[in-house]
Parts: sequence; structure tokens; C-alpha cells
Amino acid sequence: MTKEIQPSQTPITLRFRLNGKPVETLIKPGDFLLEVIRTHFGLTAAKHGCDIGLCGACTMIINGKSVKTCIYAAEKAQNAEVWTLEGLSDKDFLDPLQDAWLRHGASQCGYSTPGMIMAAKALLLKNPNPSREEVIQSLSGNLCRCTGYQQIVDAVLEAARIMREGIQKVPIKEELSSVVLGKSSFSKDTLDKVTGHCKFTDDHPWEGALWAQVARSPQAHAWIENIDISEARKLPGVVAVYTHEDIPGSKLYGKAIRDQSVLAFRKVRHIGEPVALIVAQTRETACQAAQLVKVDYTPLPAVFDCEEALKPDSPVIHDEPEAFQDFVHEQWMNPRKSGGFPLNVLYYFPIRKGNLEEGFNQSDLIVERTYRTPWIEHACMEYEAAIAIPDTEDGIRVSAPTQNVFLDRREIADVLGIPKEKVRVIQLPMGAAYGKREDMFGQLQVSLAAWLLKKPVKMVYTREETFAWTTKRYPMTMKYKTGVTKEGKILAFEATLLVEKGAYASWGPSGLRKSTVHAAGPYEIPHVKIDGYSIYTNNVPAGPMRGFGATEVGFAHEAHMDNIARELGMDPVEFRKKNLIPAGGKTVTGQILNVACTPEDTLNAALKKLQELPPLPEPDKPFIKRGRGLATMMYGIGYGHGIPDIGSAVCELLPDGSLLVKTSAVDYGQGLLTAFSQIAAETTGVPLSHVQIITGDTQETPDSGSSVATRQTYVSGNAVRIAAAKLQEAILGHAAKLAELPVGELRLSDGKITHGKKILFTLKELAKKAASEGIFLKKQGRFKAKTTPLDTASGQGDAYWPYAFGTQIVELDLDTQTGKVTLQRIIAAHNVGKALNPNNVLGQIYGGIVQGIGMALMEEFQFDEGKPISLNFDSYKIPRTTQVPPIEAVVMEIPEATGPYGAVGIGEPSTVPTAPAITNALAQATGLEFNSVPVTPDTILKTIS
Amino acid sequence: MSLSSFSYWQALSVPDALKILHNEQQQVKLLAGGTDFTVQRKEGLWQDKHILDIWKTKELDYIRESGKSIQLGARTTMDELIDSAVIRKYAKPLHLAACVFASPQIRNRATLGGNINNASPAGDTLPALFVLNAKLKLSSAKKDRLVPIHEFFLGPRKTLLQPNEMLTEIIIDKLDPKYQSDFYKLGERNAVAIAIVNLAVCRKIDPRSHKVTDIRISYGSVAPTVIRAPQTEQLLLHQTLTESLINKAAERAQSEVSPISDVRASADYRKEMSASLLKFLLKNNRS
Repeated sequence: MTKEIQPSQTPITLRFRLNGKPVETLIKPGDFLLEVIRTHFGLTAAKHGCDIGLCGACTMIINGKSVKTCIYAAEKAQNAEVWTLEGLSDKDFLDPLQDAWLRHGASQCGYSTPGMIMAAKALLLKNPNPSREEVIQSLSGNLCRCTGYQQIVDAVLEAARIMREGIQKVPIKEELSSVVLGKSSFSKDTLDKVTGHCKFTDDHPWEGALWAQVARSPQAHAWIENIDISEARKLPGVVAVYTHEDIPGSKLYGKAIRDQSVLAFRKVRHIGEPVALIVAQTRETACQAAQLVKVDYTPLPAVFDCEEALKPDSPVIHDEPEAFQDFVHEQWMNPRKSGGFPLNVLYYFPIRKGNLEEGFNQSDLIVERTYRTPWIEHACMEYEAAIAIPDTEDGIRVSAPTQNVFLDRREIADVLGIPKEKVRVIQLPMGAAYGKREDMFGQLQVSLAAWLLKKPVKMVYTREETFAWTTKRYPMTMKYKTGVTKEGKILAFEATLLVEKGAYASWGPSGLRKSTVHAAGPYEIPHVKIDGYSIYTNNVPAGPMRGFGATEVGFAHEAHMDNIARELGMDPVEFRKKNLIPAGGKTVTGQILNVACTPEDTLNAALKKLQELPPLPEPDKPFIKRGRGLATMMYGIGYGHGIPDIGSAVCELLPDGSLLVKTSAVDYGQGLLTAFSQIAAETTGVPLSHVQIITGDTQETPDSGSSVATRQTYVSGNAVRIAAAKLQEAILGHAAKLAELPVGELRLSDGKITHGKKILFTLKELAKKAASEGIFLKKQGRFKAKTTPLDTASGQGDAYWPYAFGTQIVELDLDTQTGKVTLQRIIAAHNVGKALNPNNVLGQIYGGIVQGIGMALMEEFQFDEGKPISLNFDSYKIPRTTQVPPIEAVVMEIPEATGPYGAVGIGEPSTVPTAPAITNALAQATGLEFNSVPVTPDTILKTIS
Repeated sequence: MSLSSFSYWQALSVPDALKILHNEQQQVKLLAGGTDFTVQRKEGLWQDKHILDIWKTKELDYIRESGKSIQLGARTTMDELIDSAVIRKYAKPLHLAACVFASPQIRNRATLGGNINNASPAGDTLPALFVLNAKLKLSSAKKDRLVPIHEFFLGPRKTLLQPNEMLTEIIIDKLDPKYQSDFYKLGERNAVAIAIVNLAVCRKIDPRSHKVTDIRISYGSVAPTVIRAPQTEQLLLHQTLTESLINKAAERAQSEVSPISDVRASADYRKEMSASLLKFLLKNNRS
């Protein structure tokens, strides 16, 4: 055998076939194929998702087999046949897998889609006729945090069937109708996601951009005595090193409360807090220089537990006066100003209703329990990334994954000390958010560096940095006490909620208020006392995550309902039915729920589905126990609490007859672009394929607020509907004038203006005429949600509108030998008012449920004395295909009178009831209580033995 | 994320590879599928080593059956183990271990030799190899030597492989059809998870006397290296597998393991599972 030896520190010429064409490039030994394909060839479909072979986002097909290219040495591809997702389609045709992905709504944020499709392709190359189980097994190496996998598996099975019929290519079809509401249409952005052409922040080359990296504090709580950047500055390749002294504007930021430093001064309050900012030619140099920043600290005692932080002798984390001077919302009082609170309390919110003592006195049974939920990482598949580019005219352009471009703009402008108008924030496609991207991770630092240097600067986190240094779902301790009559009527409810915020506020106040308003769940209770405390500790800051305070208390109130039912000896369903809020009933804040769909309607729908389905086969082993659990929920949509909750959109007929929709509301995978396009098409009569949409750009789009709180389908969807209706009126008015016919006799649908059966104009003709006459057909829509501020002493008032309700039922098997739980089936009944896009609604339900599965069974982000220790998907587990059971969704369409076409959102509600339904099923199987999550095999065995 | 500069050799034959090892000695680290190595290198290990890639030494990619044993080339991948009828028939624990090894993309690349050399106490194939009485052929430019697998591991990530040697072949017993054998991975099976406990068992029972004539038990993830449980085996040998004996054996097994607590599970849970899984495999004949 001949010998081939390549000694080298020198570049190697790599020759291989890429997507069917011979290519060559020079690589360095030690390069990984993923990076070579992304940077040398600009093919960025395959992504970084973990960089250690755990998530599959980098999957390509090499010599017919699926390979994780983030850990595949590039040299190994010598003479190989390499395929990336881009190679599966061209401009006219799709691979049957890509087509099936579109038709099943199998892509949400789209970040893990390319790896997933390539893994599926490799399976079908080997096995053209896989079973459902084989598909699930073969995709077990690919993580997806959005979809819940069900539609992905369906898509693969259907593509396999089509390919077995001999179809290898499917033409790309355009939706030429405007009658699209209630159809599972897709917009252009989804097509880009399945072909690999969707560009996320780090997929752009950003020519000439410098790398930024922050030097972080190793101390959890310490005085900063001195920061020495001289050594870091001397390192060749370092362009600049900045500290807080270089910040021209505000040194503090915070979207709700300005308590967080851009670069630390005076004090650090958590491990990982940014202390200095390094800008260098390469990432390696920047990281190396970060190690050379020398900071003298005087350590302070630190506190890592809520209850410890409330004690009188606890270290005080925010002792400085300046942090609380600038409140963004006046009504978000600093409890310290009113006095009487431990100093680590960030925010307090009470609810008082009726007479609690009387309620307990009249009760036959009082049930008291404490419930706990842990730190949970959002695990967005895309790493944090940010780019800032100075504009020629003394301004700056910033792109990063964000849920609100206007709030980012405000913070950036204030830090730079320049007018807001000089900052333009543009949101690029985003590898999901789930609340994480309400906070800011690199935007301020890259903006600062780019502004000071007048050069483009970018920052991209690693998976480890993303896990370690970004916000997480906050942990909660919930002490519940409920008084009931022996007939099962709840009379009194008392709760103390402790929210751990970590070192900084993030959105602490609004999250806490959501928790308190939802603490009792969808039950009508006459006597109520709820006290919520948001508490600083020296852990990494916690922030919003899907459900935002309602998910955590959702676990508590539903576990509590089952615990009470068990003590009463009553069926948990019957017990709930006695207490669920009826139409016209009152919430704990005294809000009257004049709803078309009640919580009980969803409960009944879920039970009906359970009866319709064939019963599961009984477990065949004596040590397997079957359990069934149920949980119901409510969720107040929108900002609530009287905060102006406004959606804004512009619709414009362009000279080519297409429709341009603009709104700042950003899509991070939940399908807003499709929903808005469908509403605009349906309302105006413009074919869906002729609708273009611009979102998330502070210069181009009107401010429509944050993509949070399940509000955008409702609030911005309404704004789009209003703008589109006005535009249709204007178009028809203009057509009537031209045709000299009464406007009431004209119709606009599928892009044509008709009078009876006669086509008067196509939209293209009309738009052209209008343009030549200098007439602009452009309308703005604005919608304001109903909400009132709550009384600060009693918490009474109309907190949110509308409310979403849902009920889920879980059936599972518990292996009593190992403590392992196997979910068998989940039934989910949710009212969405109107399913504007059925696939996307299902995707939100499946995805939300699977995040709930993670919360129930495996997810807990761990710290050791403030140091994050769950740094990648090996130590922080999220559900994989193999851990998800079949989900039976019941999509209820009882219209909400104020929603666009009756619709309300579903993004967060689907997550809320899953975890308690699972623990209630375990409780039913074992006769024991599970009052904390996650319930791992380890904890289950401890509980049952 | 990119690595510091280093030399990369690609060997197309075993003699080539051995020659490089002979000449370079301390500086060289072997690479085959790279699924463990590249991750470890990203974490900062092996930075001072040159790389010798043996992926293309096709002569090490084989599964051969002869008499009472099976010879496996060190470069054989998990996928190839799964697809092999010989392994399925005569070395079922190894087949089962390969089936639950990491993820499909990793099984395409990960090699049996790599899993052995990585010397992790959680290496999925190792308990299977222990109960199959594997012998490892360690080759150098000058000579070959055969080492029983239970002598090979000195501790986590430590083996007795010399810098001038490479693992070229694994020889395992063929289990005749009278053996019942099984493998169980506790952890998220098929979910890219590192095992909490691995257990491989094979046993032969005399059909007339119902007594155990041979029994081999091996655990992973419950000690610094993969282990056999000799005292437990002794307890069962020449006995009839009654419920009370199985319970006793499970108790004995608990005393033979010495697990630690980590982010995946507590030591107590591992200990308890070592007993439960043994009971499960001895009572439930899944073969």
C-alpha cells in the first residue's frame, strides 16, 4: 500500500466535490469542515449549535452518510463527496423533503432546519421506507427547541412516501389566491429556511468587521479597586481595550430598570459580569487579551439563595444610589423608596381580595404546600451575536437577535450619548428567542466599540458563553395555602411568591406582576391574599422565558389542585369543575371575564378527545406503573397592568401591484411573518405571494412593541388588519373613480378588481395608474389593547385582555425499578379564537409542550456558588425526538370578539400546563406528591422508596 | 475555537502508521473517526500533540469470524458493528451497545478502537467487550502483544498503551447459542447521552441441572474504569438462579461498584441502579 504522509504546519490543498461540483481550497491543519464550508464557500445553511457534536445543526452528508461537521477535521474531506442543504434545491425545484417541510410547518425559527433535513436525507438514502420509530431514532442526534419534532417526523414520512413514488423534485409553487386565512400557507422566509438561504446574524461575512470580546468578572460580589488594561492593550492584533471610563453616555442600562452596567464600575454583582471590552483583529486575539485584563477585587460576601437574601444580615447587592434614579416606567416603584422591605427586594406586588381570615374560618380543610421551579435555560439554537456598523452620516447601524428593535435603539443611543434617530436597529432572522432576547447581550458592547473606533465590530458568543452568561427562566419558590369546603369549593387562597432575579432586574417587575395575577390559576376564589417578591441574588441575571411568570405559578396551582383533591378524596377533574371561573366570573384581581370560551370549555374538549382516542395498551411489566394527569391554565395576553400596549402597521400598494406590509413586530420562529402576510392578503385581496413584509427595523417600520407576552398575533395582527382594510377601501375608491362606478359595487380579491363578473383592473394595472398620477395608496393601522393599571395596594383592576385558556392531559409509564418516565401520549386543548394558520398553531402547541416536558423531566440549569456549570447540551439536557410522545392537539376556534378575525395568540399558553400535567400523572401513578421540578429518575426513586 | 498549529499525518497503512509512531514517540496522538478526539482537543487537551490520522487504514476495517472467536479491526465503526450479522448472532451485547451509542451521525464515524482508547468509564462498548473476554492486540513497529481488556485500563483516560504502540485488533469470544446475553444502558438511550450506568451480562445455564455454568457481569460508569463484578459472578456460579439468589447477587454487586456523583446522577442512584439493573437482566430473559 502506498503511503501518504502530509507533514505540515503549512496549508493543505483540500480537493473535494461540494454539492456535486469539484472544488478546492487551502485549509490549515486543525480546521473543521463546518467552518471551511461556511467561510470559504459562503454556504451557511449548516450552523454552529454546540460545536461538540451534540446538536446536529452542522449536519452534512459526506460520502452518503450524515456527519456532524463541527467535529469533523477538514482534512478528512480530501476527495470526498460533500452535500449541504443548499445542494438539494435550485431556484425552481425543491427536494421532496424540503417541500414536505413547508407543507407540514416543520420549520419555525429555522436554525436547526438544515441539519435536520440533511439527517433525514441521509436516512432516506439508506432506508427509503422507514417506520415512524426509525425516523424518530435517526433524528435523535438533532436538537430543535421550537417545533416539538412532531411535524418534522410527519414531513420525513411523507417525503419518503413521495420519493418511493419516484418523485425526486417538486416545483416551487406560489400562492396566487388572497383567500388564505385558515390555510397552512407559508411566506418567503419559510422557503428560505428550508433551502438554507435564510441568513442569521453570524451567516453574513461582515467584511472588515473587528471582533469584540468582554473580560468577565471571576468574582460573584466584589468591589473593583483597579482595572489594569495595559497588558491586554500590548498584545499584537488588539485594536482597543475599553472600560466604563470610555462610555460617552449612560453607564447603566436596563429596559425596565437601569440597574445594570455596560462595563462594570465600582462593584461586580455576579460571576461573568463584563468588566472590560476588547476589540481585536481576530476572535482568538480578543479572547487571549481578555485573559490579560487585570482587575483588583476586594471580595464581598455573596448570596445565592432567595430566602437567604431576605434575611436582615444578608449582603446587600444593590447598595448604590445611582442605580435606581432612572425608572423607565414611573409606576414601577422601587420598594426601597416606600420602605419596610429587605434591601435585596427588587420589586413587590400584592393582591388583596375579600377577607382572607373569614375565608379560612369557613373552610373545612386547609392545604398548605411549597412548590419550586428551577433555573431553566432557553437554549435558543442560535448563539448570541451582534454587529454594529458606523454609518457615514454620524450614525450607527446595529443588528442582533432581539425581540424589540425600538427598546434596543433607546438603550444603545443612551449609552452612546447620541439622539435615538442616529441609531438604526435592524433585526435579522433569529434562531428563536422564547423571552431571552428581551434582554441585551452584545448589542451595547459592539455599538460602543464601533462608535468609538468608527469601524464595524461584531461579537459572537460560543455555546458555553451563551449558556453561562445570558438570562434564564427565573427560579421560583411558591408557598400556597388554600381553604376549601368539604364539598370542594375553594374559599380562601394565600400565596407567597419568591422570584429569584439574580444580580440585575431584567424584566423583573412585569414578570412578578404576571406571576401574582396568575398565581391562583383559572379559578374563582372569593378571599385572596397574594404577595410577590422579586429578589436580587449574586447569580447570573434571570429574565423572561415562555410564559413569563405564568408558567412557574402554573406548575404550582395545578400541582396544588391535585394535592387538595387528593386530601378531599375528590376526583381532580370534578374538583376543578367546581372552581373554574365561569363566563362572567371574576379573577383574583376582580376582573370580570366576559369570555366566549371558558377554561371549562377547554377542559371538556380535552376530556372528549381522551374518550374518542383508543385507550393505550396496558403496561406489560409488573414494575411499570401507568399514570394519567391533567392540568388547566389561563394566560393574560399582552403587557397588561395599564402599560400602553399598542400595535402599529403600514400597508402600501407598490407600483408593481404588490403589497408591502411594515411593522416593527419581530418574528423569531413563531410565524408572525406568515400570519401578518395572510391577514394582509385576506383583508386587501392581494394574492399571498404578492405580499412583501418588512419587520424589525427602527427606520423603516412603525413601532409595534415587543414580540412578547403572546401579544403580536393579537395586537400587531389587529394593526395589520386595520391598515389593510383601510388600504382596500382606498384601492377600491380609486378604482371606482376610474371606472366611474359606485364603490359599493366593486370587489377586490385574488389581485383583481371586479364589478359583477367583469374584471375591471388587475391590481398591477391599477397600481401603475395610481403611481403615474402621483397617488400613494398607503395606510397606517393602529390598535391598542385593553388594560388598566392595578391598584398598588390591592392589585385590583383589569390586568390583561384577552385571556387564553387551555387544558392538557398526560399519560405516562413509570419504571419503578429505574425511576425512568416514558411519556405515552399528551392531549392538548387550547382555544386560539381562530387558527389563522393551522400548521403554525399546531407548531406552537407542540413546541410549547416539548419545552414543558423538558421543564418537568430534565431541565435544571446548575450553578456552583454563582458559577454556571451547565455549559452545553451534555450537562444541560433538552428533549430529543426520542423523548417526545405523540401529541393530540385540539385546536378550538371560539372567536375572541376583539381579535383579528377572532384570533388570539398561543405561543406561551401551550407551555404552561404540560409540566404539572406530567407531575400530576406521576402523583396519580404512585399516590405520592411531586411538588418540585424537574422530576429526574433519581428524585423519583428517592420519592417512591 | 481554532486549534493551535500542529502537524497532521494521514496513514494509509498500518506499517506507515507504526513507523511514524516509532519515530515520533511522545508527540503523536492517534485519530480515527475523531468524534471524541476533536471535542477533547477543543476543550484544550492534546494541544501539544501531532495528529496521526488512521481513518484511511482500510486494512483495520474488518469483522472476521474464526472458530471460537471473532476478530475486529480497530477502525470498525459502530454502524458496521450494528449491521454485522456475525456480531448480532455471536456478540449480542456488543451489538446492543453499538445501537445505543451516541447519535446516528456519530455512529458513522466512531470506531471501536477509539472507544477503547478513549478509556472513559462510560464508554458504551466496554462492558460488552469485558463480558466477551476481549483481548486487545497492541502493535508497534517491532512487535505485537495481546492484552486482556480488563488489564488495559489503568484509570479514567489512562491505559497501558505505550507511545510507540497502536491498538490494531480486538479479539472476542463467540458466544455459542446456549448463552443468554444482554446489555442495558441507563441514561437517555439513543439520545446522545453519557450512560449513568451500563451493564452487560452473559450467562450459560445447564438445561438439565438449571445451574449456572458460566456467568460474566460487567459495569460501566460506576467506577474509575469499567469493571467486572467477580464476587457477584462467584456467588451465582454453579447455582440455580432463584429470586432470592438474584436479590443477594444484586446486593453483592452494589458492594463491588464505587460510583461518584456528577451532573447526570448521584452516587446513591448509580449504586441503587447497579442492583436494579442486574436484577432486571437476570430475571428478564430478553434474548
